[in-house]
This record gives sequence, structure tokens and C-alpha cells, in this order.
Amino acid sequence: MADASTIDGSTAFEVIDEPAPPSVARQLGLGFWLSSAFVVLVVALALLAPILPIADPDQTAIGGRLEGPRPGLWFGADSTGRDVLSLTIWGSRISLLVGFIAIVIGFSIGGTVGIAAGYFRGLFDKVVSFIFVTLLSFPALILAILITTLLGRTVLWVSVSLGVLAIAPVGRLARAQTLVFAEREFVTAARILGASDRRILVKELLPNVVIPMSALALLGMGIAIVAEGTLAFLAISVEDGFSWGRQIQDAGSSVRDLEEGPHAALFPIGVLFLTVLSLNYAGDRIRDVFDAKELQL
Amino acid sequence: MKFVAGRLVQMVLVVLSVTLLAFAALNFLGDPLFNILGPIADEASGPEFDEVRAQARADFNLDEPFLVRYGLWLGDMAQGDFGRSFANGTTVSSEISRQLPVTIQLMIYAQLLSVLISVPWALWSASRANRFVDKASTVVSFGMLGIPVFALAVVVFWLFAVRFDIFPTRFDDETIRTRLVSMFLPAMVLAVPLIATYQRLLRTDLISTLQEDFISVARAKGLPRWRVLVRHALRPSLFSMLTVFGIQTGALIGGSLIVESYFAVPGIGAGVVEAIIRDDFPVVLAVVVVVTVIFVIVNFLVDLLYSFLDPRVQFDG
Amino acid sequence: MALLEVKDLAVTFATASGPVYAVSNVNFSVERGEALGIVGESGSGKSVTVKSLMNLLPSTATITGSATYDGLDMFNLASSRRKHFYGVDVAMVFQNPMTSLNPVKRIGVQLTEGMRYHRNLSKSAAKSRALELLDMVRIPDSAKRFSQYPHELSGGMRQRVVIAMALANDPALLIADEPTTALDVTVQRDILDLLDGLRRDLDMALVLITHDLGVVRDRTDDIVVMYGGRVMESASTAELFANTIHPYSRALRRSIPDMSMPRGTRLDPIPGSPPDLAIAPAACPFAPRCVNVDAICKFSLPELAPDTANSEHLFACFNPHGELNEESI
Repeated sequence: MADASTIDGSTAFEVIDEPAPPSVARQLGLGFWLSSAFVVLVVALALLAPILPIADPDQTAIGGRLEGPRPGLWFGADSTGRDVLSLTIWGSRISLLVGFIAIVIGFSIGGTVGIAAGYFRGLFDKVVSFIFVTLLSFPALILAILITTLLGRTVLWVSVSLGVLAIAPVGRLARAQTLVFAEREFVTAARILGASDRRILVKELLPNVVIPMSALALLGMGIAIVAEGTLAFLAISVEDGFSWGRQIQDAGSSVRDLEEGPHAALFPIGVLFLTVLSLNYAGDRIRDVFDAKELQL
Repeated sequence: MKFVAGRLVQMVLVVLSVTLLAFAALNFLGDPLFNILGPIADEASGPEFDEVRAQARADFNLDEPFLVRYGLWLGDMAQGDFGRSFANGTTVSSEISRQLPVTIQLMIYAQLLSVLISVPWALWSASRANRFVDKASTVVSFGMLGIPVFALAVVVFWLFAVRFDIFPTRFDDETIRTRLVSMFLPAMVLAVPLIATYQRLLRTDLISTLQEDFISVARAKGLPRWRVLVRHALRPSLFSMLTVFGIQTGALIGGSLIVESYFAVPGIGAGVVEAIIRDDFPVVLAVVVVVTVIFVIVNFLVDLLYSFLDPRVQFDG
Repeated sequence: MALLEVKDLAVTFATASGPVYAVSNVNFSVERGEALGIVGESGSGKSVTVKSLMNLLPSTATITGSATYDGLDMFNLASSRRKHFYGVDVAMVFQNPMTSLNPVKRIGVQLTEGMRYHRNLSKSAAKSRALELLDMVRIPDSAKRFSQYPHELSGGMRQRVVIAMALANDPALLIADEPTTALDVTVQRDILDLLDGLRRDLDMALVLITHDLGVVRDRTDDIVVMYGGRVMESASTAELFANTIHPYSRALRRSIPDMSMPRGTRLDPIPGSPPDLAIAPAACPFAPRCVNVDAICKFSLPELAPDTANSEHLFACFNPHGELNEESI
């Protein structure tokens, strides 16, 4: 294909008036904005749950046992007649909260340590890298289970355990990104000009590491929500809380219930799936767009 | 052989760190006596229980310094002595040797299904890169990656075991056939995210391999398209997939907890979930160790496989 | 009837920025057992031409015109004939031996797979044939080489293996696409002489593609000179060297070392670069670089036409001898 590629190369070269690159908003694409809108909607509903005109999630016999969806009872009722829509909205609160706290923990610790390791190198980097390898060698779910079991099944500790899981992957990415940027001219320039390490880290490196990390944050949020759901599904998440995982387990564990009214499980599954998919897609788009920009530098 | 030696040292270090971490967690988070002895440490009082407690302190060397205890415990572990389960007093090693084969079968089943499905799928979409089939494949695999395993388990169970009575609702160990049939849904649920991961990686690598000159050479030999794909393009394209194969073993272990619990498959995953719920620490600890060792070994084997895939990769290089 | 007859061949690639006219109006033929040289710079369309014949172009390529092999339409082969056509009747040797061999398969496997597929040879029969081929391309220690991987061989050795692979099923036509460009100067001649010798010994037709007129001078019966995807000149080798008509061919001759040149002759590289093929040809593609360029060359496309003195000698030029000049039009 030597010939064809020279042909392509020469044509690309001839194009003189190259169209202005589309704006970032446009580059992200419709899918990104739809996904973001869905995530915003879910978050808004979760925040507003107490003042929304929806049934009390604990009140039974609002509908018949496993009654199907109908106007007014849009997601139908579960096996005790509770409103599935109301349960799904209230259930999102713990799912999202745990996901959010976990990501904050994972990113503040993993990010800081990773950037520091990538910037200072040396023994510190070696030790940190080994700790990351060790953390990644733990089957993730087992580690989370171990921590929650020992510390207690509260929102805080569940979030902490999931946050610990995020430290190694986040830290590795932060370290790798820092290594890339620490070699760049603008950092070298700052160093020659006598900027302090602290100043270089905060002013020069952080902004460049944050964008790829924000993509990871969205992906990580999805992973954390799934992880909490998994713990809840196994009945080892937040003890007195009600989240999507618990709801899906409640409605999906009995053959009889599934036979009579699968909607009680399928609706929360659908919402969970769409939420995770939206987070993944938005994260992927950010990464793609900014990776491409990176190449143009 | 330098490479192998280096990896072996790393493996041992990782296993030591993981076990140390797990052991430390059990000793420092909460009361170690409770963690070792189980509920009776707290609940029961009276002189006869004081004696049990004293006995336990002695048995488990609780008065020794932490590192000594860790060493002793590790020695026991290495000899296959995992202690006794709180729940029924059976030895943990007998529980594990009963449950582990089931889990390993399930994991092999899932990996087999994923490879059998993802490889032809990737070959198909790579040979039609950027055409409709390929674009649709990308969307489908993105969706497959997004489904939480537990949600997928419920949907699949509802669809194939409840709504349409294709697969049994219960694990059935009677014959090899019933075992394979009843383990199909759990294995498939575990396989779905793997299939998507493998398909994406293999497709990307295949597309770049297909640009290589030696592919043109093979086609110029007059070999049929599929044969060139399978015999020439596939093997040099397997690297990313293989790397992830090792890492995914970790995801499979996590997934087996969910799938085994939900589908009532009597494996180590279901066992550990039960153990956690009833605070049965010796079992939990043993599973952590066994699972980590398996995970590390699989990743080591993956490294060895590289040299098979590409004769240019030399271990002493 | 010629063994290979190419008529009005054109290849267009669909790209994101529009069609690329890689090859147009290509005509040539090769007789059984004879050798044809296709000469041109990179981007002249010579590689695309032979790849279209070998069915190796990507699906973005559109091919028009015809190519017949022994009277058979190569672009519309019946599937039963097609199954054992490439690699049997027609085989090809590629430019870069470093990338032409599959790095993860042993030499022996790559040598034998073609014969085993097309001729159903047993493993041992294929192996003895492969060893014979390795001897034929003068690879010492053939038994040892058979079980080695490509990375254990030098570039020259690898190209010999690629040639042996192409010869596996006794093709009547061998296409060699710049077989020595990627090799050390010292082994280039060996490989070319090997190809030439094999052609004579096996009575095989050869299409030798090169950017170097010197390479084809003593090794081919006919020469086609291509530029910008079009044939500029075609004639028998002796005629072309005796009476080079097209300014591009002459420029090519001046740009390469030639034993017949008097000592101290300066080599003249051709100034400028190959044309942009994204524009449908409406003028002589060589006009911007041509010393004889005239007004007509810039707005009209010269057709390939026979020389008045020799009807076998074709060229596409309005002003081959620089008689015209801007004022005369």
C-alpha cells in the first residue's frame, strides 16, 4: 500500500483552507449531552426526593401485589405493594452518595500520591508503585467486603472501602500522566525559572492531569455505583439503607416474584443500566476528545 | 531466565503483602479474639468461657507480637492448615477443597465461552472494519460492558429460566451434562463483560495486523480470506487480549461471588459471602489467600504465554 | 495470445477528501516466459497496478478496464478457477522482506502452506518440495532454515524465502514489486540475478517493478515507464534504450548511474515531486517538471501513441524533442 499512502499523504498536504476545528461542545457530540442530561436528571431526582410528589417508599399496599405499571403507578408495585418508582428514586440516593464519596476518596488520595510519585520519582515512586501493584492484586470485591465487614456496614465505611479500591487505578493513571507532563517543555521551563516544586505541581501539572482524570472520575463513579449495588445485592452493603442493588435483590431473588411481576426488578435494573451507561459514555467521550487534542499539541 | 526469576520474586512479594494486609485487617480492625473465636468471644460469660478464651489466646498466640503471629499463621497456611470454621467446626481446608473445584470449573467455563464467542466476533467485525456490522458490534459491546453483573444475572435468570423455561432454575449436580447445563447461565453472565472486553481489544489489534505486509503476502499465496484471518492475523493480534485475560481473572473472582450466590452454585464465592454474613473470619481469610494466589499465578502464566505468541519475546532478553 | 494482457486499466480510491486517481489508462502485455519491467518513481501507480492484478487492493478501490491471463478475465474469475489461481498461476514477491514474513510462524510453515492448500500435498511431500525450493533460491543449510523463525534470518535470506514461497506452485507469471529496494546494495544484485536466472530456468514470465531503469536494462524484454498513474512510454528494452523518446524516461535515465555513460557524467535528479492524484488528469502529469513543457501540455492530456518509426514503441507526449515552444502555438 506504499503507493496509496503516498497518495493520501499528498492530498492531505494540498488542502489549504482547513476548516476551523469544531468547538469542544460539538466535538463531544449529541450522545455526550444526552448522557449528561440523563445523569443530571437522576441526580436531581435523588436530591429532590423528599419534596417530589411521590409515594412514601416504605408504605406498602399502594398497589396490589406485583401490580403492573399503570398511570399513577408508572413502574408498578413490588411484592408488598410498594411503589417501584418511588423506591427507585429513593434507592438512587444511597447508590449515588456512596459512588460520589468513594470517588472523592479515591481521587484525593490516589491522585495526590500518584502525582507526587510521578513528579518526585526515586524510592518514593518505587514504594508507591509496589503498593499499587499489591492493591491491584487483591480481587477488588473481596477487599471491599473485608473492609466493610470489619469496619461496619455504614454509608461511610462502604464508601471508604470502595474509595480504597479506586486508589490504585487512579494513582497509576495520575502517575503516568505526571510522568508524561513532567518531561514537557513548559514544566522544564518553569523549573529553570526557579519555580518551587509546589508551584510547578499546582500551577503547571495539576491542570494537565485533571482533564484525563475527570474522564476517569465519571467512569469510576459508574464502577463505584455498580460496586455498591453488588455489595447491596449480596446483602453486605449499608445495613439499614435501601439502594438499587438491594431493591434489585429484593425483587429478583424469588422465582415466584419474577414469574408474577418481573417489572419490580426490571425497572430499577433499567435505570441503573442507563445511569452506568451514561456515565461510561460521557467519560469515554471526554477522554476521546481530549486525547485527540493532546495529539495536536 | 532472569525474567522468570524477577517475576517469581514479585509474585512472592505480592502474596506476602496481600496476606499481611488481610491478616493485619483482621487483627487491628476490631477485636482479634472476636475475629478469631467468633461470637462466643463476646456473648458468653462465665468461668468456663474464660477458659475457652484463655485457650484461644494460647492457641492463636494472641500474646505474641503481631509479626510473630503473622509468621506462625503464614506457616500454617503454607501447610494447608487454614483453621476451623466458626459455623460448623469443620476445617476450612476441607470446605475450600470442596468449593474451589466448582468455582474453578465455573471460571474456566466462563473464559471458554468468552473466548469462543469473542474471537469469531472480533474476526468478523475486523474483517468488515467500519462497515455496518462493525459499527453495530461496537455499540453492542459498549452496552455489554456497562451492564452490572448482578443486574445481568437477574435479567438472564428471568428471561431464560423463568419466562422461557430453557435452563433449570437450580444448580444440578447429578451428571456432567446437568452440571454443564445448569452452570450455563451463571457462566454466561460472567462471560458477557469478558466477551465485550476481548472483542474490543482483539478487533483493534486485528485491524492493525491486517495492514501488515505479511497479510498481503499470505493473500497473494491464494489462501482464502478466513484462513488468512485465522492462521496469519489472529496470533500476532492476541497480545492485548492475553494481557487482559490475566487481569480479568480478578473480575471473574468478584463476579463469581455474585453469580454463585444468586444461582446457588456451591462454590467458593457463595461460600465466602455466607461466611461474611455470619462473620466467619477463618473462612474469609483463607479465601482471600487462596484467591490471591490463584490470581497471581494466572498472571504469571500469562507472561509465559507471551513467548509462545511471539517467538521474538525472549525471557532472558 | 499474450499470457497477461492489461487493457485500459484504471484504479480509483475513494478517500475522505474525494477520489484519488491512482492509475489510469494503463496498457501492457507480457508473453509467456518473457520479462517486463515497469519503471517509475514512487507514487507513479506501478504498485497499485500490480496489486489490482493480484486482487490485493482495499475495498475503497474501484477498478475499471480489463486484465486477461491466458485469455481469462482476471477481474471476473469463476469462483472455482479463482480458488486456485493466485499463488498457483500468478504469484508475487513483495518489496520489504523484513515485513513480508509472518513473525510468529516458522519459515517451513509459511513455505508449505500454499502448496498444502492448493495441491493437497502431504506434510512430508510439502517439506521435501520446500527444501528443494530453498536450494533453488540458494539458501544454504535449507533443513535448518526450514524450522527457523523469520527474525533469525538476514534481509537477503528473507527475500530469498519470499521468492521461494512465490515459486512454490510453479507459477507461469511472477510479479516482483521492487524486490530489492529494501535490501543492502550488496545483496540487491544477487537477488535480481537470482530472479532472472529462475525466470529462464523455470520458463516463467516476470513482471519486475522498479524505480531504477538500470535494474531492468539487462533483465527484461520490454519496459513500461509510468508516471502519475499513467503509462508514459512503452517499448522493447533494446528500443527504449536505443531511442528514448519521452522526456520523463530521459530524465529517469539521466538520474541513474549507467555503465554506458562516459566517466565523469553528472547524474541529474529530476526536480520537483510527483503529481497530486486527487485531481482528475486533464493535462500531462509530468508537465510541471518537464524540460520540454509547452502550452498544450498544460491543458491537454497526451494519448499513448506509436512512434512513426516503430509502431511497437508507444509514448504519450506532445513535445518529445522540444521542437515546440511557447511562441509557436
